[in-house]
Amino acid sequence: MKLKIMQTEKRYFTAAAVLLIILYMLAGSAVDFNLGSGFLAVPEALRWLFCNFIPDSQSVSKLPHIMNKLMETVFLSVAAATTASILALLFALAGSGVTRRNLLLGTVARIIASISRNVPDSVWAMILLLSFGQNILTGFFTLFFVTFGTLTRAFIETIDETSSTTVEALTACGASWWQVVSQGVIPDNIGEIVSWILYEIEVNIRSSTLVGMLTGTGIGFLFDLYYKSMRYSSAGLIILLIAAVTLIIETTSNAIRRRIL
Amino acid sequence: MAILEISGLTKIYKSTIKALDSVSFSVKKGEFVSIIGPSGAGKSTLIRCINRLVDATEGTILVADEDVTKMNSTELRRLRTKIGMIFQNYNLVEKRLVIDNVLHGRLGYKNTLAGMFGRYTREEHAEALKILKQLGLKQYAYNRCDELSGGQKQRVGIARALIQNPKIFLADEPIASLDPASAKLIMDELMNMNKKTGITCLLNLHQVQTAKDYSDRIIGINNGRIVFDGKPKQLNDKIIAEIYNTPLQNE
Repeated sequence: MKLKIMQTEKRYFTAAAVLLIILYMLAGSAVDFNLGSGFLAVPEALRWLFCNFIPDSQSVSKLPHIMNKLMETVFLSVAAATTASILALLFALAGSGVTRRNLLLGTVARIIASISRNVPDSVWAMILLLSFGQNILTGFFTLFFVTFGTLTRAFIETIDETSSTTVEALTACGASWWQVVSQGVIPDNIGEIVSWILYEIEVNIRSSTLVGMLTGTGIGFLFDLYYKSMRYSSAGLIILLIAAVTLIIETTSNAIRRRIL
Repeated sequence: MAILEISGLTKIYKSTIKALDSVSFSVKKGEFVSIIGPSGAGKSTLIRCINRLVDATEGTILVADEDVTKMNSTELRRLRTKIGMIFQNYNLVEKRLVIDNVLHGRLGYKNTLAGMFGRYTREEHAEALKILKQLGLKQYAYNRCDELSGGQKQRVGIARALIQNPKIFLADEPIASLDPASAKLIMDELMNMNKKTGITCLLNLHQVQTAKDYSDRIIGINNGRIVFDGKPKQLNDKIIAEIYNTPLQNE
């Protein structure tokens, strides 16, 4: 009996594997893709990358300008993450099953957050570009909307998980809703909240590069400019600097996280 | 004199599940009453209806002659300050200090802003420390709650309820998560408080023997209905079997 169950299980796995291979072959032949030649091209691509993207003396002379734009991007990311987090916290309090005061309001809050999260940042950038033009505000709002959506959802989850007991207890003491939130819910979740904001700052710096290309602001714009005018060494310097900044922010935020959690 | 009068209390969840089915009883001032019954019998719902953590579907609940079910939010806040409550899982803000958690018991008395920013008066602080001292927790006043043991956390819960200066004390399975020694300590503390200050106590309990040892009166609930209401010594094996749906053992 057990043997039979095991055999059926095995047959399922085999069928799934065969199906995957067939799917790959069908899809591959449809778009003329060949895995072998794809992999073979990787070393050549890497060689080209390392030959062209190594920063040289010409690109180093651009350093002050690049740093200026990079700082602009970092500050933009921080500003978007912090302002979005405040709005996200309010929406999360309205939308969490534990703290919501009104089912309708809660559902509306969740829907708004869901929309702003599920529209990709590149799409936000293009939509906002139409209304704000090539402006730092476009970059800010793009990052703002996506961060807001993600944080609202994250905050709702942490509040739902940790705060039902505290809300119950403080309500039973006669505390008002604002008191329950500020004395119970926020202290309960502050570690998670700060941790999520730090994470969103990191994500924003990474995605602000792409957003910058689309909206013509910050370091993304500069990268796009150098890249399209074939000044690869300067573009390479930008990549290195972005990687360095992300690493620094990641290390700092990990250190902060360890302290507060 | 009855401090709590419940009549015809019915609670229906999701329009089909009947958690309480026309429950009626009254509790005299200063009584120590235990509610026993199997899991899912409606004990927690019953206790939560009294301070409106759960809204009753039907029936009236009079606390000191005021109908709880008809109160607006302001009246409700005032009522809740008069009812202290402790929980099975202590329900403390674990990341805050012990003294902060005790002072939470004062929130119902404060205006919203003062409460939000935790601005308590010198007297409230002194009172919190005094209560912690009574409960043997003075040396932990400035520790974070998550550093305490289960029994200590439950005592913080009691302190938070006491600083409310309540007339009624509700407890939802107060010792279900504790080891026997801590459980005894908590029960002794509750009884001691009941005898000394005359606070009416209403407890949900899982342990029949504990209920018999400490209560003035026991109420047995099964499937949302009261099946027993009397003195501990009237509670015999036959009635216990009826409350818990277990067949009576022939010995």
